[in-house]
Amino acid sequence: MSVDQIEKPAEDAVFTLRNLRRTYEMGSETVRALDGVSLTIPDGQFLAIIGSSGSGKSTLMHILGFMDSPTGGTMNFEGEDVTGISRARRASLRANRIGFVFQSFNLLPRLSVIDNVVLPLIYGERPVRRKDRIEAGMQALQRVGMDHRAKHTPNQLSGGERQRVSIARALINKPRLILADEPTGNLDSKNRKVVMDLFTKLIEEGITLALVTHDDVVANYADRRIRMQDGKIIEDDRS
Amino acid sequence: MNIVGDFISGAANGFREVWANKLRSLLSMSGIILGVAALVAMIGVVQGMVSNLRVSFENSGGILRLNVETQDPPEEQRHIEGRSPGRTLNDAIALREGLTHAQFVGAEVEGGWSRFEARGHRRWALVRGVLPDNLNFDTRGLAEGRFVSELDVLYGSPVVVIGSEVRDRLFGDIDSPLGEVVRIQGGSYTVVGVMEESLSEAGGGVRSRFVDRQNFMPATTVLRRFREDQNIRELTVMAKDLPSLPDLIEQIENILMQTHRGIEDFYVSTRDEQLADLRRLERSFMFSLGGIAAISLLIGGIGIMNVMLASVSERIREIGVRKAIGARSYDVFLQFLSEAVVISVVGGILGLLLSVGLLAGLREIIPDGDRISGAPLVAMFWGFIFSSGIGLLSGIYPAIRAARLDPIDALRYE
Repeated sequence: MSVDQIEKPAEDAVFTLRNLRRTYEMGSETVRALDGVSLTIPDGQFLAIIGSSGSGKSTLMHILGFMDSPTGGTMNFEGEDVTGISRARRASLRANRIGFVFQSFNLLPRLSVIDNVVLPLIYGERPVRRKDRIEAGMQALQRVGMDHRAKHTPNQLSGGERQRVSIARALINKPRLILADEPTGNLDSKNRKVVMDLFTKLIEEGITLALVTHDDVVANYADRRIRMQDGKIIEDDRS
Repeated sequence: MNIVGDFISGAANGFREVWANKLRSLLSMSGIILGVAALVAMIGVVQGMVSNLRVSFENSGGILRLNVETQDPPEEQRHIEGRSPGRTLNDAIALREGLTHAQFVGAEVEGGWSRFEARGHRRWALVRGVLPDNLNFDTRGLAEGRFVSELDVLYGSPVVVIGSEVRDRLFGDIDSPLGEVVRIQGGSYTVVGVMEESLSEAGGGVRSRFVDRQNFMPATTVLRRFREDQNIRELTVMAKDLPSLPDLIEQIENILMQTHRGIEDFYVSTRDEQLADLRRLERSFMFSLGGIAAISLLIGGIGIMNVMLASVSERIREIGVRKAIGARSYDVFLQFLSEAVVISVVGGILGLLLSVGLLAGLREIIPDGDRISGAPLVAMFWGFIFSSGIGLLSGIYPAIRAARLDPIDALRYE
């Protein structure tokens, strides 16, 4: 498919972006971090976003994760136009519809594994009782095979284990989309495989995943790869 | 989630943070701990002092009591001021004979602190020379025996009415000290009476050791044996009632003008002024303490703000993570504000506990400190409220800084 072609919103699309732009003012210079990106992410897709440093992939991730807003174009999430929504609405979508997995895990060191996993439930739309939070947290840990480490602290875990806990945290709110920013960047090849196999399993269970990576091995797990350069999508490979 | 629920959840997080950083939290709350402890302890001490003064005011006749004070004579009498004998026991005798509106006339001669010896025991205690009516200026009665009599005064008898503390120290091993002889400054004196303990309702039933170490002798005996001059320390008159006060003052002035041979080296002071002074003293103490407390709590608040700002800087990444997984700015604001409040509330509670310990120590150390309250509840309440308020105020700015952080920048922070 040509990257210039505007994608049609699919009925079951999680995200539909049209001609999305994000510019920053750096003194007198305007930086175009995203320059007319159009993209549809269907439900259940495993999307890899690849590109060199400064290509705009992180900006795209931040916008998909409702941590940043576009300066132009439109974006549609689950059929709702979310182009100019408020900070509070963005926070609510982050809490309830999006799961994040970071390169450096970003677990809070003073909290136990289970408390880290259930943290998003505290910020969810409805208050969840602690008992129910723990139950949901244990289920999420079971999905990533880390339930036996629930009472440990993050610094008692290996890198691969920490990333699996971080994935459990991303799953806890049953999100529509999981965004993973270089999730294997800090892992050795053995743990990289463990994490990627886990993602593959979760995709089979029906989650939608967008993953930013430099690593071709990781990108090859995905069923779609888009390559970015200078804020544009220059390649969309669905093979 | 409602604001109360959010705050409770924030407070739980706050406790966890305080517990996880025990030393840092303790250091940050030290200002509040010391501020609250100092505030409550000082208020306790001042209240004790003022209470002592009030009780002593009431015990010594209240508003109906008039004092004859000395003063320099007016300019035109300066060259003949030597004609006046000054304030002497004769004044008291003349007033007793001449006044029609007085209930009692008392006089007191200072005998000073002296060594009392009896039955192999020793005790330093205070000697006061008095007239029989002085018993009426004291709310204490006699525990046993009698007070100084007219005849004792007339003859300058070597008798003493001892305080309960002196009785306990010197005669604790016998049933009654009446008729026993006490050696005081080389002289021998017969114990004729014992004063009651200084228990009073106004003092909450606590004993004043100072009052119980006072001993009474006839004024004439003290003048003869303990002093080289004829001056008396105090000349007091108790009015029958409030309406007769102006007439009584005029009578006193007329009589004393005769005994002082026309020299106006005295004046009659009413106790309205003393009562007003007492109230002014109390107010000024409270204002000074309020100022000191405000400054110390402000310093405590600055300490908390400093630590909270450091905490925000240390936890920028954590704030980023929390925001990325859905925390609103309001949630982050409340989290840091709750932590500041937890620090100040815990600091306030520790300060209150410390103040109770301080007050217990001060009761022992300060002379006549029995009236110091062990736990001045009103001061403790306000100390706690102020410390919590300070925590709230000092937490606002760091909490706003934390809440305003952009999640993307916060997550990139190394």
